Amino acid sequence: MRNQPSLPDPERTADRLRYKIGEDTIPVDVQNVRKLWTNLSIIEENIDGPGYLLPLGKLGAEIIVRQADSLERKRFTIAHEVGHWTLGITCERKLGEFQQPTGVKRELVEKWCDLFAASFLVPRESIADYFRGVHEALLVTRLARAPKHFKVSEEAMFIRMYDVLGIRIAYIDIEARTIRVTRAFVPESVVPEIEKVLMAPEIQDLLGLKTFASKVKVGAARFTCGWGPSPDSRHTLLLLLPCDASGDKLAGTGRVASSRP
Amino acid sequence: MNKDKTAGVVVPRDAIREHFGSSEPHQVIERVEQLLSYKEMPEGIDDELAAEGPALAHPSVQKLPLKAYLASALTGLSDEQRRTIFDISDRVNQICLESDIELYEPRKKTDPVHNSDVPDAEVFKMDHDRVVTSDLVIHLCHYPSTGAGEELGFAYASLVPIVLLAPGSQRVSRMITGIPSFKLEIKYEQPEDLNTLLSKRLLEIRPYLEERRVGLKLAQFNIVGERVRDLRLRAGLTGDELATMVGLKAESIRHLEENVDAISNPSLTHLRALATALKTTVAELIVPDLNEYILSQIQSSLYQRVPARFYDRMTPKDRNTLMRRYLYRVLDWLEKQ
Repeated sequence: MRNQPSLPDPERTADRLRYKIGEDTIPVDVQNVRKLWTNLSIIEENIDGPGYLLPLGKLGAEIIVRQADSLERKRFTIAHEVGHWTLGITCERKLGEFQQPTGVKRELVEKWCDLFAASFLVPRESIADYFRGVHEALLVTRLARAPKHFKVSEEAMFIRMYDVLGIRIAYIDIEARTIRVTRAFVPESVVPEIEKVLMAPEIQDLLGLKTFASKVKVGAARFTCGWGPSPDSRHTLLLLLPCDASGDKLAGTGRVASSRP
Repeated sequence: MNKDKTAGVVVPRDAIREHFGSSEPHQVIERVEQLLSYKEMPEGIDDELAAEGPALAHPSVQKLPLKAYLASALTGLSDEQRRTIFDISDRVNQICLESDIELYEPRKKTDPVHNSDVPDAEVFKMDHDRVVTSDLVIHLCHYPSTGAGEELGFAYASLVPIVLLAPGSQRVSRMITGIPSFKLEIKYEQPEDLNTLLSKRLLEIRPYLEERRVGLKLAQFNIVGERVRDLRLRAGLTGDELATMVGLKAESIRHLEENVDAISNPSLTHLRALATALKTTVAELIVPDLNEYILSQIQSSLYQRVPARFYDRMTPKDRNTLMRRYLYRVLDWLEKQ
């Protein structure tokens, strides 16, 4: 449809908010948004959905999160609802009324809030710092510790890794001479690419190894590839990063440094 | 605290007055300037995240904001005819602006030439909803138009006042001039004459328009739709099944259930068919008891306001939890007044 209003950049919005509330350490304390907005309450309730933002007019708003969720999940939910809050304020400043942007599909608004939450809790620069200088042999171990370091769920962490560094992460199942993706933290369109790499003879030769991380050449393409135990040791975690001809994207985290102002 | 029970609902008048009328004149001006000077969506949201926090109360403008809809021919016009319509539209828009009326011009959103990619059903819904929620429809009678005729029909059905604008020599269809509702006809010789003629009439009818807007406040709640949904679910019917029973499309049922009465505005024929299908009476559909009425007001308010993940699949338990939180906070606030 024409004339669709654009949404602000979620990452920049999250960066600005973190700066405003003085959150420059990891893990980010999402509750500190109340320093900026004292009329914003965060409460836990026994609800079915993960969380809601309940605007209350001049009384402010309540962010309601599911009591039964893990701390990591609650933090992400709160950050997601803070995303709705900032969008609502943007609308209020523009139209004089607190509401979510009109003319934008609800799914897009939700996606925006997810991106905002991920950017808020896992800042791009912090990921770069976290992985800077890590030897490729230790990448999987480092990756497995990342969710705890940032205090987010594995899902949120690994999807963010793809968004920021382009690292494909998946749970895999290695049995005898077969390898299978059981869950991938990438867009659906990228899954076949992972499966294709795993089918390559160069990878098949490594199936006997419980942990592994190195550069691998599959056909004409090179990858930083590795696997090892997942954070909860219940899965095998796969890491896959295509390297372009100019060199390893991850080693110097040059991609990270150059993509942000 | 003054209590107004005329509408059957206790209204804390002082609180409302305080909420909307506490600003000093200079504060009102500052606020309006802020609103008017606000540009399109900014790249960043630095201003929105200002440390002093958001402005949560609605702008305290004393004048009730009014909205008008511009109905005119747009489809099948020659270039010259389009130019004429657009020139008059711009003029009317300027006059409305000066009269503190926000004018919606369909040509800027659903023009058949420039916005031909907007689906037909969406054009219908968008323009219909705009008409029935407007305070006034201004019709340019220059060229015959089935679309504009339909829009005037919506206006008539929703009791939206109509202003007919026509050049002095123009003969206007009697299907338009004969609409039996609040209607003004303005004939002009030169487009410049409109500046005086239209703005004068707008000034004259403003008190009526404001009064009407306040009076229609109750129609801003979804009473009928909530009632239909409730009875449908109790009867174990899907939206599709109910639609088939009454000879409507499933979208119509969804539209009715999800929109406030002012927008859905079902006809008496539809209501009779729905009442029969749901084994109830028309009266039951439109006049729920006070408890249900209050509940539907809150539910409607929540429906409009809660931006939540998976909202479409929100469970009754969550809906009730939100309502409980909402009521708790409002009651807490009222107690502190």
